[in-house]
Formats: sequence, C-alpha cells, structure tokens
Amino acid sequence: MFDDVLDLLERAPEPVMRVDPDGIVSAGRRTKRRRRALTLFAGAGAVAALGIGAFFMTGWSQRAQDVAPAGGSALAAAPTTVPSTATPSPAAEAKAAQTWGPMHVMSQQPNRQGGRPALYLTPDRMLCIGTIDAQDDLTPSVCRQIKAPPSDAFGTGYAWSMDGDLPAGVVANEFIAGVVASDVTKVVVRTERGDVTAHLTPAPDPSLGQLYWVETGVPILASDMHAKDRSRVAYRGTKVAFSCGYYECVGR
Amino acid sequence: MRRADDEEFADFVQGSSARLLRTAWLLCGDPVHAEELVQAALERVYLKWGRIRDGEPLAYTRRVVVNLHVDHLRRARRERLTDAVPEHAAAAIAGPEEGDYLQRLLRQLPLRERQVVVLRYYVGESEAQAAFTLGVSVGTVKSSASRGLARLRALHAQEGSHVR
Repeated sequence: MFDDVLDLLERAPEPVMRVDPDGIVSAGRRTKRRRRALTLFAGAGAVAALGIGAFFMTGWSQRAQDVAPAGGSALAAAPTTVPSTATPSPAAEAKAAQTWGPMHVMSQQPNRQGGRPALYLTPDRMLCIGTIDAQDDLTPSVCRQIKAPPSDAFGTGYAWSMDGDLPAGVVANEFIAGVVASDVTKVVVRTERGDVTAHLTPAPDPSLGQLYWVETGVPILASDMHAKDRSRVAYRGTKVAFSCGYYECVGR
Repeated sequence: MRRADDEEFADFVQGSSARLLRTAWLLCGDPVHAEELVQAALERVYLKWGRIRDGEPLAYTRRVVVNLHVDHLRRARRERLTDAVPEHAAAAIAGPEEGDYLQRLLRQLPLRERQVVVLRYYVGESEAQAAFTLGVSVGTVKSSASRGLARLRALHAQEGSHVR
C-alpha cells in the first residue's frame, strides 16, 4: 500500500502500453504526402478556374466589340463547355487515403445528424467505426490498432452505439464488430432477444483474418452500460470453434 | 523530412513514449485509449518536427495529448463507445490491483482537477507550464491543484482504511 498519493501517482503499476515509432513515422509521411497532393490539386484547380475565367472574359469582351448592342446577349452565346478532367477531386483523394479496402455500411438507419454507421480499416491498420454523412464524407468515431486475430478467440473488437446527443433513457441501436480468424465460417452474437448472425468479409490483408459486424437489433438505453450480457460464438463449419462471453473466451 | 530527422524523431519517440503513455493513462484511465492518444499526438508532432525540435517537443507533445483527450471526451458525448469487447479473458478479469486502485481514485476527480493533479504532481510541470498545457490561467491551476490533491488524499485515506 502506498502511503501517499504522490507516491501512488509515480509508482502504482500501469498496464503494458507501447507505441510503434516506425508506424508513427510512416503515418506521418503518408499525411505529408496527402497534404502535398491536396495542395497541388487545390493549386491546379485555382489555375484552371483562372483560365476558364480568362477565357470567358476574353470571349465576352471580343463579342462586345463584334456584336451590336441590339443583337442580344453576347454572354449567352459564349461557349459553356467546361474542360473535362480525369484527375480525381481532392475530397475523393483524401477519402481514398483514409480507408483501406472497402468500407462497410453497417446499417441504413441514420443517427440524428443523418450519418450512417460504417466499419472500415485504415492504411495504418486501424479498425475504425465512423459515420458517413449525406455528402458521403466519412468521420471516424472510434479507432483501434488491429492485430492478427488468434485462432481460438476474437480479435480487436467493439460494442458501439450511435447515441448521437441522445439524453439518458432514449433508445439507440447497438453494433458489435471486430476481427476473427479467416477460417471461421460463422459468427453469432447472443442477445436477450435471440441469436443474430454477423456479416463476415475478408480483410484486405489475409493475415488480419476477416471483419465481422452485426446490428444486434436490441434497443439500448443511452447512458446505460451495454454489451455485458452479449456473448459471441464462432463456428468452423457446423461445429462451434470457440465462444466468448463478455468476461471469458473459451476455445473448444 | 530527411532520414536523419526521422531517426532523430524516432529517438525522441523511444525516449519519451513511456512517460507520455503513463500521463495519457492517468488522464483517460484506459490503456488502449492511452496508446491511441499518444500515437495520434506523436503523428501530429512528426508533421511539425522541423519547427519544434529545437524548442520543447516533450511539452508540446503533452499539450497535444491533453487536447486530443479533451476532443475525444467532447466527441464521446455525441457518439459513445459503449464497451470494448474483450479479446481475451485474462486481461478482462484481472482483479483489483494498485493500478486499478489509482484509476478508481482519479476517476472520482472532476476532469480539470484530474488534469492538473497529473500534470503538476506526476509530470512535474510548474504551475505556469501546466497553465500553458491546459490553456487556462495560473490561478485556475493553483486552485484546481490544491482542491484536487486534497480530494485525492481524502479518497486515498478513506479507501485505504477499508483495505488495511
């Protein structure tokens, strides 16, 4: 027992934690490249806009000299074709850099801001849940470093709800998502309303197994703690491979 | 950034990450989230490394960690992670330990007091440094530090009498 709180702050044991310096440097490099690309696209866009503006201005002043004032609007006769471009927009570039492999919309039911929940991986190997808004922009809500899942337990996972700004006592939907070994053929989440089978899809890198997600369909109360009663069962073929209660994960 | 700069930054990460991780853990109470906070803060520091390397990169990084934690709390009020599904039983069923005990005490402090207590009495920042890190006045740091420490001691005495 520590006699003083200052001792406690300094010396109380802490959980094992680490960060990956190489991962940080690579993520930083990627961000730099992305920012550089965005700047480049923005610059190119500005130049293109100036060019188009100059083209219209020149055309308009030329016609203003050629056409009699009673002959109608010279501006209306000006060509309106915008030069086509094969270059993707900066927003599309940024979004593509944000996700790794496909993004999985977990439900069509939006939250109060109109966002739909999505599960995805990022290029720096984070498993994220975020929302996609009406403009198709992706905002991450929670992310966690993903590791290769073991063969006898579930890997990185979440229980998550789209509470929005709901006051306590208002119902919200619950999602359970994570990764599991690639040879698992079915994942079932047990709830008080019965079993729900999860969606399964391979991760972009086979060593990360496959992603699973499920909307439990159980309305949960905002500000309650949830998911403590959920257990998950993984099958290989028709046989149970392992099952995980909230506090235990048992291989079979 | 040049390769030498990258190596210098990696050395900075190696040297400072243990202290930063403990600071983040004391602030947020969750080791996984503490790792995420420090990782995200260091990524931001990397982008400005050329400008801050000759100043006080550790103080700057700490400030980013604190800001990210506050951002997270604001966002968490909007969309809340209800619970992390545990990966293995062993980590989830660990009984009360000293680390858990410390977290139990810290959780009972209001956020500002918790931040100030961690920065002043664990990190060892001066009142002025803590005020800079938190973006508040020195007076706020003084009052929060004295209230927070007194409250923490009272909780410790109370809990300790149950344990002994």
